Amino acid sequence: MITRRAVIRNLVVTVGGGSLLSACGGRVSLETLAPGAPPRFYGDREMAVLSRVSDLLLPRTETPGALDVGVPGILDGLMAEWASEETRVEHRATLAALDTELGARLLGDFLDADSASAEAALSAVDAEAFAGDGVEGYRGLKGLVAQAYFSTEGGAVEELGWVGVPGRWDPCAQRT
Amino acid sequence: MRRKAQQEYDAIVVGSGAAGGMCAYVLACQGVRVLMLEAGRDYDPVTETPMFQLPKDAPMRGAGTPEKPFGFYDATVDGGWQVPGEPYASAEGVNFMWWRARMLGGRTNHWGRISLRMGEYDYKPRSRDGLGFDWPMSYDDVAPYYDRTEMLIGVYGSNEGLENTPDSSPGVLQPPPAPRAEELLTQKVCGEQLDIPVIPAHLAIMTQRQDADRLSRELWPNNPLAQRVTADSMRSRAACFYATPCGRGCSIKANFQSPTVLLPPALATGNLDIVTDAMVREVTVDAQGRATGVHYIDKTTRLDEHVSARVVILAASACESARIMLNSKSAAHPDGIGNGSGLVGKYVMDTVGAFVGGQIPALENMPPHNADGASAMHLYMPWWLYQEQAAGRLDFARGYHIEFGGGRKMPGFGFMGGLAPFTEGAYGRRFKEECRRYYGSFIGFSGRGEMIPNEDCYCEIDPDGVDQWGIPTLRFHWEWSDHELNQCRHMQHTFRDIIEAMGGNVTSTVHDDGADAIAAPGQIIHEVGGAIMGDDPRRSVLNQFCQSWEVDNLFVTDGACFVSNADKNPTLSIMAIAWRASDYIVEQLAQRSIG
Repeated sequence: MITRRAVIRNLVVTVGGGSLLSACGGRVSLETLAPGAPPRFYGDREMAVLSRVSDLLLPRTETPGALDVGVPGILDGLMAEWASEETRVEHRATLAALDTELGARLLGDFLDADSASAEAALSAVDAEAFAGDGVEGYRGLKGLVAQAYFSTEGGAVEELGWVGVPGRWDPCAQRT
Repeated sequence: MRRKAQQEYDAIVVGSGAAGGMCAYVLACQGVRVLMLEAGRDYDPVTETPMFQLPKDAPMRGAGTPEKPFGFYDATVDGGWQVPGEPYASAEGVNFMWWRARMLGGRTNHWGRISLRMGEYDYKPRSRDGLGFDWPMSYDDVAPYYDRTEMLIGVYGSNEGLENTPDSSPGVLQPPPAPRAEELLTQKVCGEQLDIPVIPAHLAIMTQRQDADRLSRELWPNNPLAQRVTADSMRSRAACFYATPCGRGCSIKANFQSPTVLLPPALATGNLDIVTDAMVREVTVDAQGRATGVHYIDKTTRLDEHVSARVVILAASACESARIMLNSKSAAHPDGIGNGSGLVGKYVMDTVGAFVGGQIPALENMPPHNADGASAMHLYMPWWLYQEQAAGRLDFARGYHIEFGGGRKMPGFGFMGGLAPFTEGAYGRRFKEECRRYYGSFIGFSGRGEMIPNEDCYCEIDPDGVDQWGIPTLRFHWEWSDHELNQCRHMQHTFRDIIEAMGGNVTSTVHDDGADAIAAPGQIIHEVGGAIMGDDPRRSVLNQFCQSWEVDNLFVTDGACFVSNADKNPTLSIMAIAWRASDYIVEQLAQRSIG
């Protein structure tokens, strides 16, 4: 069993610090941004950058991609309703820094770059971030996109093969 | 549930969880008229449990918040470490976390279902190492009640005959579920390389339906009423179908919760009334100082109510029961009822907890399969170094067990949290492949260790605090001893060794200083003590039957009576001890020697 403490620790690890745990309290009415509805948290540029990053990270393959399952809308809802002010400020700063960094690497607008170039630039930013440098908050952002994706039916069931109600536990291996 | 007190009651039970539920069941089955007062709201697991909902169906993807620390779907529908309008304080430098489950059934709705018996060493710890206190009874005195409790609630596990890890009587335990991949690997590595036993865990989850006819007869010979209500209740329970998280509750009643297993048969006797939203403020007494009933706040009207009975049983949770006693001041009991020894609130203990996580390459790329199992662990490691400890080769006096798990669990918020460092530079199709590769390859080890009671860990009434009901609140004091901190260091190193022996990578920090690894006091939610039992009225609050030394019709049957807090998570022992105390109360009521 993953214990209570492990769950909390996992949360902290995932979001790259404790800040998301200091979520605003009380209101619980979030859901994914409906198609065509305006974002509640992100500005147009932020939404476009986040969508492009999500699509590059988890594109449609034989299984749904991040945009198919509405990852940007999920994160928009989380930021609008769940995140603390501190988290919001950090998250915006991360998106802006990432946009700037990618633009510098691509010598142009990230949103205009072709997929191969954009992915190469992102992978370089990614490697740098995990080496401990680069865009601050990037690791947390990547984790959030992945979490939002795998928390959907498309991500969990179609992509990962998670089985919701698998029936009784009949393992083929026996304890020796 | 709001049935107003309409008749005379023999007993008032304050609280509806493990202890209160058990007392109500045992007393009602034997003809005692019981009024149960629960501070929280009514709750029905059959209709209210979100068993099948996915994270996507929840606000905020089901993530934890200060109001719902274990996520949106957690069975604690009201309560947590912070309860609005019900504050508590900690002394400077102390961060005590006090969990309150304000709902029918209390913490039994959310608990881990880990049901380990305390053993013969655990009842006489001082006799073994000179620390803490001995219990006034022995394991043999409580063993029949462990059997009965396990038969009633349904516990899976096995009898392994290991030191201080008691076996149950034949026919008591249900068969344990077979281990999953990460459990088999851990068992193999621990056995072959580290000499750590990995055996079936004991959990209050049913792997098969109960034999209602046999069990009800064995539990209640010569008591047709008790047999009937117990058998009916057992027949309404299904076996686990191995799919949904137990912590959300169980609408098919496969796991143990007081509102599905203890309260329905108790109500069916006709001898139990339950009033919810009833926040008990104090125990009232007569001129001689004997308990007459309780005052409670009706939370729906905010009015102060009073009910009377021959016996008052506090089962409100360790610190809440201590709080009620300390707040029950009278001419006869100027420092709180039953507190002539000055020990009410003293010797509060929690469980020592520490964690290390890892990623195991041997578990990568597992094919899709049902890894949910019975939701919680199928195997665990009981404490295995009794002899080393007795020989003085360890720098801490008491043991811990290890809880562990991983596998392809339902992806929820926080999911893949440990993944990011393994996917450096990965984007697109490769990132998806990496996620599939690593899904199910993470494992976590948690130590659950014994804390030795000490003078510095206690609660008292905060002179500056009242809650929204006007009831004086608690202030907590805490200091770990080197025994707990050194034990935590040992956990950290052991868990690292296990992960490395499995060929894995440690993914969390391994602390060499136990103080950096230890969970905050109260965080493991195993707090016990505060009204310890004993055999000397000057040095304990209760006798071995949870009866106040000073007030013979006042009982405290929850974790407050604990004298030590062995590494065997307390709930099962709370229930066994509460059953034993309830049998004693029935006897005393019949003899008219109390009430």
